[in-house]
Amino acid sequence: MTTKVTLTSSDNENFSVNKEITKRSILIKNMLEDVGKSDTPIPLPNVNSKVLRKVIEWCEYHCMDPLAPTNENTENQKQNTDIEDWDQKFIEVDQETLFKIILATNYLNIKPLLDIGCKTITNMIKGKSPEEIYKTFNIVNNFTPKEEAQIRKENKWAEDQ
Amino acid sequence: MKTYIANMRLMAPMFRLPWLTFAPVPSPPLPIEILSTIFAYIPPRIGPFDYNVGTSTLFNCSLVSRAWRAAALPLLWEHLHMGFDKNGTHEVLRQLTFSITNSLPGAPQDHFHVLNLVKRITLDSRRSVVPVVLPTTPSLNILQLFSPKQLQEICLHYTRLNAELFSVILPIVFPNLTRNLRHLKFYGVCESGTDGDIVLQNLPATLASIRLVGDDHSKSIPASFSRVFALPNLRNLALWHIDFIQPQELEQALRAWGPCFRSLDITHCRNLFRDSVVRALADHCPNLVSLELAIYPGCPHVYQDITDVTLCRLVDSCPDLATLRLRGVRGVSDAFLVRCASRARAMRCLRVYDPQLWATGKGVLAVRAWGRMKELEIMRGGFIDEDIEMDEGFVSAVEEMAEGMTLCRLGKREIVPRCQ
Repeated sequence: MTTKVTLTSSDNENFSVNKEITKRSILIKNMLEDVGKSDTPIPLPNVNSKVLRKVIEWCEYHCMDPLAPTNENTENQKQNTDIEDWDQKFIEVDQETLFKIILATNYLNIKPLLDIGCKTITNMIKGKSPEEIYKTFNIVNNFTPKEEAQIRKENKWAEDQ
Repeated sequence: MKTYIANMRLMAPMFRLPWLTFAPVPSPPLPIEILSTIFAYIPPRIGPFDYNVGTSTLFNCSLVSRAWRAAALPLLWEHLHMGFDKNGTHEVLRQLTFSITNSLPGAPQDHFHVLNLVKRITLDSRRSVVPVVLPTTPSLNILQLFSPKQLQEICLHYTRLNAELFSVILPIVFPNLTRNLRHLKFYGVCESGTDGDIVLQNLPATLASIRLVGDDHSKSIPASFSRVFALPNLRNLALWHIDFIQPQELEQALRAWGPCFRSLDITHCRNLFRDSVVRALADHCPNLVSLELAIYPGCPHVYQDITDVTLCRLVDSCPDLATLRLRGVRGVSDAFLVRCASRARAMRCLRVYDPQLWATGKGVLAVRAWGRMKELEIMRGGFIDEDIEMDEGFVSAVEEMAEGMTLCRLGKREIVPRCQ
């Protein structure tokens, strides 16, 4: 008989999840080890129900994967932005959800899913000019005029070539 | 260089910071550590001069916002390649120094300049002979902007042709900029003479790994070479093409480094192809994770006495040994393969190349210990059809374990092709 754990999202929705599946999250795994046997729901105040549902979906699909070692990020792996087909489809979400999944997986400490989210963003910014990056992500330019002038001065060496 | 300049001109408009001309709906902001992870996937991870800055995604990211800049700049400026060729990066270095020194007065209080972010430098004069008066000024100015503890890695490509240049540069770097140095790669050490002594006499105690590369024609090494063996915290040592090291010196150092020592690479050092060196590793370095011993086929005047008994002892004594590459080592026998297949549980890469290989794996009936193996090659090399025929029992045992491997070739039998 599999043990269930209840996770509570920031908007107070409860999710009953197989305990083994929740252990894909290092944060939850550590919490479970700390509290021992307990039926108390685990509150996740930084994750809303929409995002938590997506994260659980990913954990269920990847429940049989070996737990990734944390110390094996070689240069080659760092340069590889390929994403497997299922994960590619999984991460095809609107940009706000994508950012929230990344923030949630960072909070929950699920490194493989965090890497998928980060690779997706990397693929979106590759080859783009600053203007295109602004438009793609709706980012606010928060440099002060003084900082901008400073950056221009520092980058003059490249402009002058 | 002309193309380089032309491209930079074309890209100049990109250096203008984009002004806010639309009303954006911001996405949730990502913290800097996540942005750093995202940017770490952006290729190429080479120095800012080695590609066109204007087309560099990482450079463009540094112009987006404060958080993006804070995450992008450390990656963009981590490695500075300082080529001393007069027609190459010299002019770029001159302009960079000018821009940075000009930008410092009036900068915000918490401002830092990008050279503060450099952790690795490459000093390289291989491309041409350079008159000392021309290239040193901007390079020296840049070096003087570094703080004593910021450099963690130096890669030095020494050529005798540019000895005059190095005699000016090296005293500025060693020891003034090496207080926190962890990694040193020194190419051309054998021909460096007294310039090499400037480096070797000032090696800091912080060094954890060192790669020293000579050549096959030099008749000597710098007088201070033995200082390498006195480094207290060395974990990884690579010696390539250096013939004048006494094996006793290395053995004594291995005894001193003991359990802290992790990795040894001896490539084409004819004096060091000794059983006593491998025995010192087995007896004093139980936490060894990587060993590479290579001598090229046809190399004259090589005396080697490495036995399979000592190789077995190494496997028994170093349970974390993950990488073992043996090229031209005559001690590889069936007895060694039997021991390795049953004991080397941490092994992920075993590569044996020897044109005179005679071991076929006879007697290996199970490879239980090789569950983590990724790369397995045991062969004479050359054309696959002319390679050694391995024992069928050995091949079958490996085939059963080959599912997780990325590379597997046993003599004539290619079990997992190299291209996979």
